[in-house]
Amino acid sequence: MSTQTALDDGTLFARARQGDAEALTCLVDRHKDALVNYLTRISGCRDRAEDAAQDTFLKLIEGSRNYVEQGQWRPYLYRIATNLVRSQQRREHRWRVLRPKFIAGNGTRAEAPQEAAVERRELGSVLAQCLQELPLKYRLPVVLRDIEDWSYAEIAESLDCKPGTVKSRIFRGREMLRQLVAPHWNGALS
Amino acid sequence: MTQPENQNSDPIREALRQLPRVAASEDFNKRLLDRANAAEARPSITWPRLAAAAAFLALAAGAVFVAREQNQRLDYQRKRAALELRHDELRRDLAAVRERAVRSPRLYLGASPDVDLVLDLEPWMAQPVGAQPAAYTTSRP
Repeated sequence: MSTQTALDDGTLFARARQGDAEALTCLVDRHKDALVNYLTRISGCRDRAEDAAQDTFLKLIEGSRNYVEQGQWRPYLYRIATNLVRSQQRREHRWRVLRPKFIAGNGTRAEAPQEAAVERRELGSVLAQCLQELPLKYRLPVVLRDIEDWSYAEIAESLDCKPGTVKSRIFRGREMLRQLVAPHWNGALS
Repeated sequence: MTQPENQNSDPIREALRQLPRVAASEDFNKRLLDRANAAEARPSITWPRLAAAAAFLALAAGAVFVAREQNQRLDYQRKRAALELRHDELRRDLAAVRERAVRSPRLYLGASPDVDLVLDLEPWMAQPVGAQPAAYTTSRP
């Protein structure tokens, strides 16, 4: 395993495609935490994020033939994850339209009321909740940039849009987030 | 809730950076491996299965097409038989009218409450040349 850890993602994935289970394990170990964190911040639910991360790796394995090595393995992985989140959101939207009452009784943020009340006093919790209210097209680049610390080029590659679009979406996303957080924040946000 | 300490940068950005990291669970790899194995064990859709499904669909579509054609043909035959029947009836009626006309060449022109107006053509039909238009009887040279 120690020899594998020094290899870059593309090389490891090439080995994994040839059936090297150790290389695949190394890749999973390298990216699982960041991916789960990203998906948690996108979906607002850790359990769902973990399931989505697993689905992402499974899809990656299933569709490994489609990958063409161009040094963009991480954006490729996150593109799969993002597409899964988008599909899930579309399904939920349809379901919400069909059964609003049912959804209202089965929210995804299953927090105990008392715990939630305590946590809501903290900035992080408020911010994480406000993040969920951002439209997905702003939430994705904001999370990748400000939480995962990706470059604009990588984000553009992962979200399949131009770097200029990424920048403007991040700017607008932060502005929207600022307005959402403002009522809960004791201090200037300029 | 306090404002982030770093005043120089965007406070929202700083706050986002300071969000606690969420890590994958301990059994993440094990669960992933189990799911991958289960997916491998699941029978996949192969070409023979796809071909069989396509053949079945084609047969079903063919059967539906043939049944529709047959229905249309029967419907056409029924309509044709009904028309032929009607045609025979009309032919018989016409023949009867002609026969009656030859036997009694009388035209019913109308009626008032007291009188029926009937034109009897029998005297003219009895003549060898039959009836002639009035224009031929002019006295001009």
